[in-house]
Amino acid sequence: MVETLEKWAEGLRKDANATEQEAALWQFQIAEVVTNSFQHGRLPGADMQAPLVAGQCDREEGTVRLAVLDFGMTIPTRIEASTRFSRDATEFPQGDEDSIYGKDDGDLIRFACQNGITSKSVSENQGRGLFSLVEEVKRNRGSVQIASRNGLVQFSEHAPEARQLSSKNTRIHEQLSGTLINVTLKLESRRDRNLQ
Amino acid sequence: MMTALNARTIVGTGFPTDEGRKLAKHLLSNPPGPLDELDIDLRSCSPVLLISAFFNGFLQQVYESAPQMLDAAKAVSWGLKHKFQQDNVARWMQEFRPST
Repeated sequence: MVETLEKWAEGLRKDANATEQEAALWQFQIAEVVTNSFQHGRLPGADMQAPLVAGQCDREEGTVRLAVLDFGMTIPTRIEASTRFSRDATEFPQGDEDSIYGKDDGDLIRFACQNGITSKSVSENQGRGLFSLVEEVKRNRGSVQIASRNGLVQFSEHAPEARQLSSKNTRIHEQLSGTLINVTLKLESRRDRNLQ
Repeated sequence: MMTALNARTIVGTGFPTDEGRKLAKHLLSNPPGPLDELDIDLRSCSPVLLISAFFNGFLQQVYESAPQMLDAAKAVSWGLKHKFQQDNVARWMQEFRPST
């Protein structure tokens, strides 16, 4: 995984004419997402299918878009399957495990991206990877969209926006059998050049 | 007195959690000095490896093998190339809580 992602990021760095630090940041972000997928997305009794990773640079816009799609256990399913949550989550679900049930998938994704969320079954990196990703992207003034099962959440420098992918009011009635994470980052080097 | 160590001679390019655990096992079985006096150079390691799973794996392994050394392990000095890495690692070290 390490060598494959390294080569992939190097190609994108050359294409974007980005700095070494920017490329390191992309590698970190993609690695957090991919590792999270491998560690937590595996369905019981099934082999984990490797996630799909894609990157695109828009020189005019000065942005890079990174996307990871996995076909494993969705984030809402993982959250519902967990039987124990740490108590340092301040926003939601207010310390009542039962209160996560009945929440929509957008809320569950938002919950999974908080700091300090751990589950009994998988301790390492649970939540931390997504939290680190979201925090780093916010610092970059970029955005992250996470779609999983029937939820979609967008994180940016503003408050997170959560919604359902399908509802009675939309024509879409399919759910995503996995997780799609789409990251948009601003190129620092481009921003600096524009300021000069 | 700090003891310098180049992690590249110990860690490989495997899964980040496994590589973090490998580093901890190596340090516990071949201690070059007290953990809190170690300066571990990670600058030649891939940014793909240096994610939260690597450092959580490292600390979790220390906790499982020698729980009395966890605080010292959190005080290891890490040599990293980029500021965002230094900030992240400092936060992960502070916020780590072992899985029991």
